[in-house]
Amino acid sequence: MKEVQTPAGLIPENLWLPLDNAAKIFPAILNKQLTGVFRLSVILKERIKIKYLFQAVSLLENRFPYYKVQLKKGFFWYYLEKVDLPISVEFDNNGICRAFKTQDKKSLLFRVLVDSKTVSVEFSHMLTDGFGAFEFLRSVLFIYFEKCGIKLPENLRVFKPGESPSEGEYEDSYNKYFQKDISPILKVPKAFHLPFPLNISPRFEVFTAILPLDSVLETAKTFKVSITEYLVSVYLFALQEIYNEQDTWKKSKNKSMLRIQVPINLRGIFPSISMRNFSLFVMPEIDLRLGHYTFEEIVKKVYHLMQLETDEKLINKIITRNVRNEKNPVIRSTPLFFKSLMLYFKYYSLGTSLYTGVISNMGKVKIAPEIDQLIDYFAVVAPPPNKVLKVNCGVIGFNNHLVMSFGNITSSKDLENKYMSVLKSHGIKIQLKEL
Amino acid sequence: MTVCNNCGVELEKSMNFCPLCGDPVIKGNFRDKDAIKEEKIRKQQQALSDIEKLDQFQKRKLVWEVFSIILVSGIIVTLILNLILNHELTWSKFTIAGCIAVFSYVSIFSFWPKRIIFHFTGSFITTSAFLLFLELWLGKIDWTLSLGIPILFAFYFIALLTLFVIKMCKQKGFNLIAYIFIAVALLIISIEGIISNYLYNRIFLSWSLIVLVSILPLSAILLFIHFRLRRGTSLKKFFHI
Ligand SMILES: [Zn+2]
Repeated sequence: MKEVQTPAGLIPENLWLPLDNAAKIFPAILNKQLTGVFRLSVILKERIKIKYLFQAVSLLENRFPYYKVQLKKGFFWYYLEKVDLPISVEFDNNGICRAFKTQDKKSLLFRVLVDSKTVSVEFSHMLTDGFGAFEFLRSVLFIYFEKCGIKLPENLRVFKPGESPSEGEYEDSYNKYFQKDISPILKVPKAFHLPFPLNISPRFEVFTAILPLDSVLETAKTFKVSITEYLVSVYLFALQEIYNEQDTWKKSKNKSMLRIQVPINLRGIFPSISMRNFSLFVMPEIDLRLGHYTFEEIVKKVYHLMQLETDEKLINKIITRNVRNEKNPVIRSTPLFFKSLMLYFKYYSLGTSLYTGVISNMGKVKIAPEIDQLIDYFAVVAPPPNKVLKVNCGVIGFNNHLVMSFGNITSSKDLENKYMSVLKSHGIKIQLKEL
Repeated sequence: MTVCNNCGVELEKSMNFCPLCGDPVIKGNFRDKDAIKEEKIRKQQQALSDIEKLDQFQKRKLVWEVFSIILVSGIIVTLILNLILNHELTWSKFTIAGCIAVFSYVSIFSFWPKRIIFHFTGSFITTSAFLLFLELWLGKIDWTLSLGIPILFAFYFIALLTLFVIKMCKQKGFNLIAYIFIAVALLIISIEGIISNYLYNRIFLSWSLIVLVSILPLSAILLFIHFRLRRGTSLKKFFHI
């Protein structure tokens, strides 16, 4: 990432931002259960020295003005408006990915949570994606360790207090990289959904497994694919088993397309330094009407689909498709209330019914050797899945720990168990954690 | 090194309370006396507030009881007086009906203090029944069914709607006046409609339309001023497309 310095005062005093392309859907669908809030945690080797953590957060208080906003209702769209509230640092005993107050109530849309050795940040997806949250957490950690008296390298690329944010940090990169060439929308058939009954409230639970990164990498290599592609393949394989275990009646009723939504960070493809949302999905799939797949066949299919879909041209097309809706003058000038209704129905009829699972891999992260040796592992929890999707999965790697967190709103742990037994059958040792 | 027993973070030696979770710092294994005292006080306060809550309900119940006694004795006294003086039921009918109406109002407001919808339906039904009884006792039912109750209904319905809209407003200001104006215009239209239907058996609007035409632009101006003046909201921000 290149540092673009801009003079202080470039961020206007009365900052407001339209929601970005990925965030637009959220105000219409969020509620107490479907919070749209994800969590990124770092588990240190020592207990948190609370004084220094408070200091670190308050030093960064004004570094991320585009996060110090509240959700406001406009006439045509929701928007984010600057609000003067301190970043809240709370004891983490109130549940995972709890909803933020929205609807014109004064509240920031992110929080810092602390418990013993763990610092977590929870962000509403309206603000940013995993990348933004990670950069924020990284900056907090950097100052925290500096306060703790750890000698740190001068030239480390982190956000420092006192700097003024560059314009690129809060740009809507979807709009910036939107290209005029418009492709027809691909119609895809609806996907299979897990047949498990929902938990009663509070329904969201997280199941965490820690895998040795080296042995996962080795296993993925034997199949000649990346870790993400391997994990997606395991997901599909486990789903295939669940599909096959259904009785004939359910099988005939349920869809037979297994499709996984895999978010990809577009900052790796476009030269964006945006701290707001800038990711997109690829959707590898297998169609069980064509018969049973062996694991090798799934891996092959996933590999080719992922290669194809992460192609820059195709991604351009997808962005164009997403942004095109937003540019449509009729949609744009529909009053908010009707637009919210439209988005709500579109979300449940199209958006979520198209995939069976989500696996969000943040990749292997590192900060600096001096800091890394003080960290045990990272964990990421995707926003609570909706009642159609039911289960999703967040993955993050650090040192030799690959941490998978399954978010689940059903009373069944069938998918998690099957997933783990596939990993075990490939010789991967698993350590389970209560989060 | 001190560690918070509640949330497990490391504290400074000088800290008496954990700045994260607010737990008092405990030296040694036992909670110190101050902390225990404080917790006791906190629990007491909690208990106190429970009693307070209970009291409010009891207060309302008390008011209701006092009212019931007054009204029932009022009914009995007027009934007896009427019978003694006139040897038949005449004027006391009206006081009795009035007392019963007041009694139902008081009951509704004391038992559903927060349910505005109950208040409205309750008092609508009570008032309609009161009107009906009056006419019934006076002889024949003439205007209550076709005039009194429809107008009452229009009034209650529009009032309820207005209250609901006002409640939903996040920012209150000129917009409330505008909404009330619109409600008044609607009410006037309904009243004229009901009256014309009663008189000529068809709905015919004339003067109420003039009221509407003069009120609507006024409300529009008020709404515009309101949204324009919303604190910190520029039009560009609010109306961005
Ligand atoms: Zn504490």
